[in-house]
Amino acid sequence: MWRFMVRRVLLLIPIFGVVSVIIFSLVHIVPGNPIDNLMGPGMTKAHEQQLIEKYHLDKPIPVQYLIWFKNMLHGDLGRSIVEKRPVSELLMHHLPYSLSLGLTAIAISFVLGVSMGIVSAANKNRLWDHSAMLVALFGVTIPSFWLGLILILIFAVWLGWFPVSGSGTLMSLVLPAVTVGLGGAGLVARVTRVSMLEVASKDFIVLLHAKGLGKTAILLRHILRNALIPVITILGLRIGWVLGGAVTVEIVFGRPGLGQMLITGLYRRDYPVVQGAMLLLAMGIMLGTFLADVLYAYADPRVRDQHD
Amino acid sequence: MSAVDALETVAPPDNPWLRRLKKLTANKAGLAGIAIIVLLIGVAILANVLAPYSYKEQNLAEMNLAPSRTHLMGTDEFGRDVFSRIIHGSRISVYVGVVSVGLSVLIGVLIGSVAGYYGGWLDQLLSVVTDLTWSLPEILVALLLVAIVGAGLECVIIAVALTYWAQYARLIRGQILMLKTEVYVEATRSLGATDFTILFRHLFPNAIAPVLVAATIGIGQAIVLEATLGFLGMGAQPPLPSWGAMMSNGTAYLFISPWVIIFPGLAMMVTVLGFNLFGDALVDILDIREDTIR
Amino acid sequence: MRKTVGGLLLVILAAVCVLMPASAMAEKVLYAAGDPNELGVTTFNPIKVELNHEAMSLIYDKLIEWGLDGNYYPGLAASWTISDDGLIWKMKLKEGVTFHDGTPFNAEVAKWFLKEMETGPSAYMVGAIDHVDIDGPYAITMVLKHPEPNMLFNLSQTFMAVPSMEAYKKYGEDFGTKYVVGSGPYMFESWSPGDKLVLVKNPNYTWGPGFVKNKGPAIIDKVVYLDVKEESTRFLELKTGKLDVVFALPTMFIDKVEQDKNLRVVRLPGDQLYHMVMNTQSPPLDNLLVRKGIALAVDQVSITKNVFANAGKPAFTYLIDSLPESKVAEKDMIRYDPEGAKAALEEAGWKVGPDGIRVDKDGNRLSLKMLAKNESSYRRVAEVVQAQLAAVGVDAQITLLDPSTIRAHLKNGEHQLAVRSYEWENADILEWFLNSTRMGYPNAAFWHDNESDYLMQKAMTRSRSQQERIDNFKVYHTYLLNQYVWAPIYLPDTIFGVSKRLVVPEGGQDRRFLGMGVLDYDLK
Repeated sequence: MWRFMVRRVLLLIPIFGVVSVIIFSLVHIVPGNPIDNLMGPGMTKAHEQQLIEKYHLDKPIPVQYLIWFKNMLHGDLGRSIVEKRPVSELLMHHLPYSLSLGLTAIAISFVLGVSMGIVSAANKNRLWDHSAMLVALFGVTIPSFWLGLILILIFAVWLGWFPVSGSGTLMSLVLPAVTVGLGGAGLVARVTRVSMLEVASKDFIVLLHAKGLGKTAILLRHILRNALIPVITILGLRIGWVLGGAVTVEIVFGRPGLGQMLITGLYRRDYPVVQGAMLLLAMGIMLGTFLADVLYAYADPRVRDQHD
Repeated sequence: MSAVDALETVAPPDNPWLRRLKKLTANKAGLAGIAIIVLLIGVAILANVLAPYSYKEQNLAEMNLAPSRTHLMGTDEFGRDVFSRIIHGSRISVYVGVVSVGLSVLIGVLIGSVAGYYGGWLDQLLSVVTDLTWSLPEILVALLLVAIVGAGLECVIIAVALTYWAQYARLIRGQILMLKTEVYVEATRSLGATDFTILFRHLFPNAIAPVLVAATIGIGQAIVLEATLGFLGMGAQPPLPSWGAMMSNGTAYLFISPWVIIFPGLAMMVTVLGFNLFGDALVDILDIREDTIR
Repeated sequence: MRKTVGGLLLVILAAVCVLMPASAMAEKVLYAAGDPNELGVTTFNPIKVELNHEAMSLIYDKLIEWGLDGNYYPGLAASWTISDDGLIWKMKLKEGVTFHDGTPFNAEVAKWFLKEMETGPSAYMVGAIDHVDIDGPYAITMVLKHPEPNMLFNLSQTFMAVPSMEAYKKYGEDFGTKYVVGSGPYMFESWSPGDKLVLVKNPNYTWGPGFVKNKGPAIIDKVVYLDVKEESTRFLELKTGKLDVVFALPTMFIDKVEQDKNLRVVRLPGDQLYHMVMNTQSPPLDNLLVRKGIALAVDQVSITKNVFANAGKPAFTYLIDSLPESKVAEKDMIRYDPEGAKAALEEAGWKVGPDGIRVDKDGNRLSLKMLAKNESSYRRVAEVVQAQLAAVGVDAQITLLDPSTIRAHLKNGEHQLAVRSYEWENADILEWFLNSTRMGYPNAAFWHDNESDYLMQKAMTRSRSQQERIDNFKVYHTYLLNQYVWAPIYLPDTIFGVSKRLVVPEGGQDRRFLGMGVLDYDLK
């Protein structure tokens, strides 16, 4: 097991390198530059040149990359060109909003999705199954920004139960977390159902039935336990989505999360900000994938053996 | 996935297509999906006939009117009929969905099948790129690509295609890997068939079914991605009535004229639902293992 | 013993409670949401800042204040005299002013500041100063290289707010983000970008500028700026009382705020102008008649009414209407005239084709590429202008882009029309946008004309007095209007949604809603 984990971690390093190169190139290929944002009426060409040199924008892109990469290895992600603050500070500021939203949303996805999956699997091909799966399908198909707007309309404007936006209070977390969580719940419900049905057809379950164990006990204690592995894998893979992909939900609810930081950074061509945020995201996602892998290997020894 | 395997008791007919057709007619969800898709395409084709008003003509005297008998879904910020715009918008959704997915399937299948068949560095590269696109949220990838390629519908299509191709490549690669070890492939090879023939004459037809299913569901995904890009201000250009752009423009009027947001969203939801139901039914009908697609 | 101490404390506590007025017990906190269209918070270092935050005018003092009536009032400079040739400026400084870190403001600081300004982006503001002499602890003389009547304006800008010299030198790069030290009525407490900025009252402040009644300290204890971007949300938070002031209230909510008995709308003359730039080097826009036809086809009154709910004024010139340089002759203003537009296009050789779009003698369609920012107000202006141009037979193809991409396009000259706006309170903005040395960006009109450059130079550098400067700029402005380099569109008022909790005295002279005038405000 340890050997497997070490191998996985070592594998992350080259991937991380490639990711950083690609992110850097993509961000720099986008037309436009950050300095124009800073040039107001009256400012001189000399000042513009000074800024360009300060941020090494006059150097070839590979050189800029090396400078950035070297600094990154020293834990220095640079300073925002527009906001002047260290990128690491900005990340620490925006990350909690994304994490709180992401973790709550994942919890909602898990609880709601697994319950729906159980109901569905236990009532295979009956009305309950079909209704639960239809709801799950809606969860998967609704664009999250639209769902967010509709939830605001109903629960904040018409009913007045929750604040329209904001990020400070627990109440303000509810609607965005539900918005992001519902999408995941649909996915989880579908995976739970399929995987439970598959486990249920296995020999040892049939044996348990033959031994005369209670139906509910088998369902919850034996089937569900084994069926949850792919569900957890899916949630691990979703960490990246809820951290950075929730950008539209962040915009709708006015949460200053990583997604917002990324998109304003991109609009301003604030390279250090975009690179820093993208990198953090990529790290989060790789971590999620890694956890999912390890968990999977832990649960299924065959995967581990294959790698060893 | 809402599988209705009602035909378990019926004896299998000889013709596989007949059997599939029977399975389809028994799959109510699949039929509903087909009905939605047919309706959508019908509306898109007949948009000029069906829409009561022009989608672009402004009537500033009738801004933000609530739904009524003259304007079934109300009017927008320039007094344009929302219902007519949704009808015309179906063209954009169908166009974006089909063309972008078609493009990404084309790219994905070419690269994926070659990678799966020959292996080697191409295969390595493919897996790295796939890992990468998997490791970033698709909306961010698409956003970066749109920023690079440019704004407008065609650019969005390209960005969406470039965002999704890897998933099809991965899928077909897996299929080819599995199939190329089968006995009949060895047999054809020993009869002197070229790589090209084997790949495209023999392996391909057998490997393509799961891709088609994934593509059907992918059309729904692509439509949502286009709308999300539109929401972020990077989609179809005015006055084109893309559903995403309509919702995006409506956000400023959420409390004043919510119908501008509600109806395009419903239209999109039903559309995407249609493609998903149909895709799920295909899984069932074509006897594809579910875990190959996801 | 312990008992007595406890008892004593209780007595003191009770006494404090009784003696303290109730209002002082409850902290008075003002919550404001700034303008979401601004690029956002950058730095609060006035010397290095490129983009200002509203709160700069609360944290810092300026040497001179510019009133709503166009007059200049004493700020940190108590009085000033200007020699007849415009070259010698003598200034008496206010005494007893201290920065938030306790260091004093005096002639030495003023001299250092005017020198240090040369290192930042706003160096041009002190560009005319040759050197500064110290005449006494609170008196300086500025010696100018050439007459610069605009110096009063420059000294009144937030870009020329005076920071603490010691703090500025001590904190280096962190000054303006982590440490912000000015001498204004409010002190920087904390700032988390994208979320909020907290300012607390400066209890030692007693040197309010000329036009405020309360010279300090302020009545309101804290001012909190919240970052709320979504327009609908901003309105709702105001309505539910979570916000007291909303900057740049979206026009669609004006009616709703006016109907609410707890809220009101405050309008101040704006400093923004929406206009459509025409690329004068991209055919057919190189033809003056075509530009004229397009400019005359834009119905400014309709846009003001239908897109902006009359929350401002239609624009007929290239400058905001509070500037004297905008008062050009009526015949030189650009007003909506569909018949004139059609006539100009006909004269230029563009006849209406079968689909209603004009074609020239070679069969080319009059189809133009139009750029606009992908933000609500720009998009709406672009869409309405598109419809208005179609009415005179011009086809405009809109592309909405993020601001950085637009700038990249403008630099390459890939545009023909561009819906833009600027915020500036001085006629020298014409030089910024139309000087032939800045082609592409900011001169998106690609305007290169010798007569124009000559008139510009004359206005910028050869005016000795304020009046002469105004006259010169009027001539330059009139010339530009007759060349139709832009189509003027709209002058938004600066509109605030304000809770009635906030008590604002009548007749304030502050140009900003939350500027020095806050000294006179109270919260119910």
